[in-house]
Amino acid sequence: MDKDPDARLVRACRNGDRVAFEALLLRYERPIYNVAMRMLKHPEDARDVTQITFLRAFERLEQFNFQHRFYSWIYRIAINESINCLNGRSRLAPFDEDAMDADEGELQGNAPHEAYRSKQLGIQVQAAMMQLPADYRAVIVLRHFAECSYQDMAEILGIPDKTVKSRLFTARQLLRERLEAKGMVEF
Amino acid sequence: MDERTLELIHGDVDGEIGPDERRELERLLQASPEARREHEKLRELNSMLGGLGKAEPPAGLRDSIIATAHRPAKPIRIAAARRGGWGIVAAMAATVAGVALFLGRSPELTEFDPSALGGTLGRPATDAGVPSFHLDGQVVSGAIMLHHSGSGLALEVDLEAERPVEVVAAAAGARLELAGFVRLAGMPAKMATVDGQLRLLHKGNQHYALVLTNKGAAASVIDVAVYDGENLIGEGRLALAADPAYTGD
Repeated sequence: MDKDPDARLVRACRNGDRVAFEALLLRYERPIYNVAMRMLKHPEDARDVTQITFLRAFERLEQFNFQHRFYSWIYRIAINESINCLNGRSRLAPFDEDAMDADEGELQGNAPHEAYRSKQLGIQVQAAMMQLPADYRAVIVLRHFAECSYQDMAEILGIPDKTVKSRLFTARQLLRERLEAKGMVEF
Repeated sequence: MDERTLELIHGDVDGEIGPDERRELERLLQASPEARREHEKLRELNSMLGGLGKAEPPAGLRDSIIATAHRPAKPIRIAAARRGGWGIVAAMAATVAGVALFLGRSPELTEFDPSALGGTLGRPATDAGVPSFHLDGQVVSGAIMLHHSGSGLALEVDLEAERPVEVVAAAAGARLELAGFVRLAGMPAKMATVDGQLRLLHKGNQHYALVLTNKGAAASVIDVAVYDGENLIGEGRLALAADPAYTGD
């Protein structure tokens, strides 16, 4: 019996069952989009990467090894495609990033002070995450937004548990330093 | 702070430690103010990250993925070989699946047949039959080419830029919309259609093709301009006249 709850759907997909593919899509669309969004920040890029991720998974289903979990496999595709997208950008900021930040930070006339502060903090946290190198951002995203365990992350990223922990601890330290530098918090 | 203490602190916040390790951590926290501060800071960071919440995928994404995944694959037909560089042919052959997949971006393209476009995509940039213009400056060099057949339209951009440049493509009276893209060697940093104009932010050495649709009146030319900030550094006019040399085989 398969340990992977998705294995039955994957087998059905490989046999041409469209309903099975749609079931996998329904199950993973939101989590994959969230991962892409936190890796890339821009909704359009996240949309593209989400689409690419599912289409790549669909293309490569014949190569899927049932000794692994579908969950880890599709997250790995999403992370790799997100990093590919980041590599396609330069280190310089996108030309409308300031405009995008302004839109995100626009004050709603009657928004309670606390809600506004919370929104601003969220914007700064995302911005600080974008300053992390992609490998460090990936562990933060997988842990905090995909709720992956250390073991899951090791399987997704293809690295030992020890490296996952080391990378995560360092990523958190870097994130804290960046947030302190922005003056948003004092750690 | 020693590695073991850090490991326990992070493990505790991540829910990764068992009862024995939890007891060990509690002893360490009781004994060390520094460890307590670190534990509290990590919990605060955890809370801040949790505050970002989850983003909802845009409407229509799932339908777009389903439509694209289940579209029958059609091979792109490459025109007969000619003299000249054929790197584009090899690249396009490798991305046949990519074109078929990415054309699903816009629901209006469900009837689009990529094979009608493929013949011109197979031609080298130096072929006079492909409308193109070349840039050879300090800031940017390369070529922009227009491929078209029937209703299919694709703008191929192969540029090397020292710094980000903006590429703007417009057809008078027409309304261009981006329907998909093919990554050959990189992709534009940003792309958008604004009031019928296609705008790209091109950075570095990248080569890609953008599949376009025209939602407006029929157009006979596409004007392309390249800007370095406010400065116009290159422009060209690409004719949409039918290519008599394309056999469609």
